[in-house]
Amino acid sequence: MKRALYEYLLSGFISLAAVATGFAQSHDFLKDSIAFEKNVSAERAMPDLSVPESPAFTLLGVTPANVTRPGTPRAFAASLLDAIDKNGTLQNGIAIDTAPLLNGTTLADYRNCYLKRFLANLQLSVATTKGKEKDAATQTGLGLHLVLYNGDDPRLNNGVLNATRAIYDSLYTAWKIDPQTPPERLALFETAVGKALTNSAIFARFKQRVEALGDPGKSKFRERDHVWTAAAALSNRSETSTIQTLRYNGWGAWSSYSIGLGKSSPNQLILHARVRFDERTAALKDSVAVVDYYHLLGVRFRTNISKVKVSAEGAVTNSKTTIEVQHSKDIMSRQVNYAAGGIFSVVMEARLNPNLWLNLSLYSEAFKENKVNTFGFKTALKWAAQL
Amino acid sequence: MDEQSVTLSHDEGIPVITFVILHPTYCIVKLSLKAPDTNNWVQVLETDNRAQSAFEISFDDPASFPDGNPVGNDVQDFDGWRLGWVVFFDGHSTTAVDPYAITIGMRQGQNAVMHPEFKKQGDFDGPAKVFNGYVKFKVV
Repeated sequence: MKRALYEYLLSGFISLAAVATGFAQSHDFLKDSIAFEKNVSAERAMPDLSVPESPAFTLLGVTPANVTRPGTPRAFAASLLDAIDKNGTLQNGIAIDTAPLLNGTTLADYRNCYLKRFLANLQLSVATTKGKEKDAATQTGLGLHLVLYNGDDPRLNNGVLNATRAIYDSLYTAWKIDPQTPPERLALFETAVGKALTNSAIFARFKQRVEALGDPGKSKFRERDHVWTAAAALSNRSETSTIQTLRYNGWGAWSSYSIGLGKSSPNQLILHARVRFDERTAALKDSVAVVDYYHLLGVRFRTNISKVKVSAEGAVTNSKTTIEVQHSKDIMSRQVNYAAGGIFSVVMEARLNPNLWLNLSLYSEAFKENKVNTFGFKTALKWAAQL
Repeated sequence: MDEQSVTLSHDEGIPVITFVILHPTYCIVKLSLKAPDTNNWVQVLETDNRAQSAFEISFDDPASFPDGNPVGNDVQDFDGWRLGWVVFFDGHSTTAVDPYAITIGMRQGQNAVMHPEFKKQGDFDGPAKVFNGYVKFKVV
């Protein structure tokens, strides 16, 4: 299993003050329109302008605790077969996330051939889940994550690999390691090397790669920072939870392009787009909400001013939702809702000590059709533990 | 632990070390030699898998094995020398399940002469993996 330095933002989200206007406006209509983005309105937060690593999970709105990660195409196929029993019944709670071709690729091939690198980074995700609340149907998601271009790939970055080698070499010499070093001392050496690499700037680069589009301001090894990723996912529903009755239930696509501005500057620009179509959810017993379409265009600019991280971001959305209500066997009403608007925020984050950040955010949100027009300010302390 | 021997035939050619490093994991290999009746390992070569993942290094390559080591046309010179290695894998990766795998072998002509080959493979449980090993040459 991958090990790295992880920072978990724990529960220390302490609100110090909140001043906002316009909260009294009803958001119900908006929430229906963008059900899958409900946190945007409910929590006054910008949508995450990154491409989901596991788009099938995102499309279904699940965050599974137990994810199967088969490492080969054969193991992936076996995992898929496990998701369906011999009668064609879909198992619920299946979550598979894999890059099945990665481990069959050598580093040399990865570095020398775009096609092999593209295929190695191709990530598949599969998920099944029961509908929410009284929705008894089973939903399935099948997703694909692509790295179309990554100028930030540590495997391609000789600066990163040379620095890794230099750290290893210096400890190798200091510890006087040789082919006959006994296993106990070799294990201690291995731990020391791991720690040194983890504490180095090199690791920041790897960590950034893991954390979506990264933060080039931290790395001195940056050479080219253009990263283009995309993802797509298809959703199906089965009212009887069998594979034979699976029906199309919409799809979604995401794409982000990240640009490092200046070779040694911490500035980064991220452009993001996403679309969702034809998503059908049984929100209540007698009603169905169909998100006919949802579009989002977003942009984020990040920089560092002294030791303060600053980001300015904005997004515009446009959606059409149809709510169908079955009043009786023969009577059904349909209401079509349109929503278009935007969200803008400026966030400043200052590191008070190695584990504590002060977060200040200023935001504005406007949706014309829904008469939503808010402006607010909030502060928070964030506590992070290094594991 | 018993010392592993590699038996070379004086009728065959200069031995060649073979490497196969699978998966897109960064790997560094350091090769060292120990002369007969000495206690010091002398590092002679360091390589990695950036340019190629399956490659060979011949003992008669002066670029790889400089003077003072068992380089020459006579296999008999190898008797009593030891060849050792230290292998490092970088576990800082971008995927959840990341394996490492290396096989080090040796051939003389077309014949494999290192039995068993040195093989290490597994999944990372930390940011680095380091392995070592060595063989002693015996010429018959």
